[in-house]
Amino acid sequence: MSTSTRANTIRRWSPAGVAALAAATALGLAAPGSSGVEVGQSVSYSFRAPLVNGKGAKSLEDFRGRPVLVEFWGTR
Amino acid sequence: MGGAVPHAVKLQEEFGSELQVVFVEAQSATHEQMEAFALKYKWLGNDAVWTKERPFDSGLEGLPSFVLVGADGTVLEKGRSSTSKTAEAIENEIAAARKPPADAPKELHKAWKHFQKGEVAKALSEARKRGEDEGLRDAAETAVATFEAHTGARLGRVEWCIENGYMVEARAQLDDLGRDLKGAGELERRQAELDSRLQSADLAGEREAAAALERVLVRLHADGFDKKGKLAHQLEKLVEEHAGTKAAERARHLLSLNV
Repeated sequence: MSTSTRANTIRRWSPAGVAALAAATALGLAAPGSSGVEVGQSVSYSFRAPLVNGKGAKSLEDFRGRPVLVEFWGTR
Repeated sequence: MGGAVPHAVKLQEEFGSELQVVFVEAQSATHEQMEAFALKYKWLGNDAVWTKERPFDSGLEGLPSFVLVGADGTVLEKGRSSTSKTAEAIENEIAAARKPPADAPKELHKAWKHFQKGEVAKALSEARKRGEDEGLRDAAETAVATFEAHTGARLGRVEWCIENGYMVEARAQLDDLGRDLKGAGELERRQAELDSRLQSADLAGEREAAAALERVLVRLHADGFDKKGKLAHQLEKLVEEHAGTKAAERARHLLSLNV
């Protein structure tokens, strides 16, 4: 499944860029000058801690080949 | 909060393994609070995964919110609450993921179709054969690299499951690969090695404990968790009877959560 198949792909992030953004968002900070991911953008991320119920999956790339619904939610 | 969470769980259950739901707890709860919440609301047992790490900035204010990522890692849609339109987008993406990539030459479609059906060895063989044609070499090499990387990652997850005592999951993942790697060289060898490790006598205790825990988790998902109830008692018994195993450690951890 090639990422280049998407005509509307805007840009790819470097792993370092993704890690920096993840660190910022984990602290509740928005990435400077960013309004977040946009439709058409390619995303990747390696999780630092094991996913609960993750069965060995360590990154978003582990789910490639099927759609991924990332749901942001709160417990309070 | 949490109004949209059951809908996402429903989507995970509706689409099964063809969709992956990733819940990202975004209100600074501790890891234990997140697990307790999931346990309390019976969401721990399905295929959705949970994390406190935000894989990216959604750019959306307020909770809940979602980002739908396509099979190739491209953002397809985002919004405050997933809707029937989201379900339709998921359905379309699943259908698209069953087709060869748009930029793959038609001569390689057969290889891609094998791969998408899980027939990895056939896919590799077909792509390599096509790659003998100089005009198709680059596309064939890309296909082979993709097939190998994807399958290697699957075997990596099996290995992780064995190392961490998730024997039921390891068995299911190996069974899912089945005979699809027969003739796939190094991948087939690695699969056989993992299978042999999983069946080894020295992991018999881990297998037994993991199977016992799985039976409780299935019930827990269906019935919910009551710290004074029958399932808690079964977990306590499991901790005692399978002491020293990773499954017993997990059972003890579940009992320690403040549900």
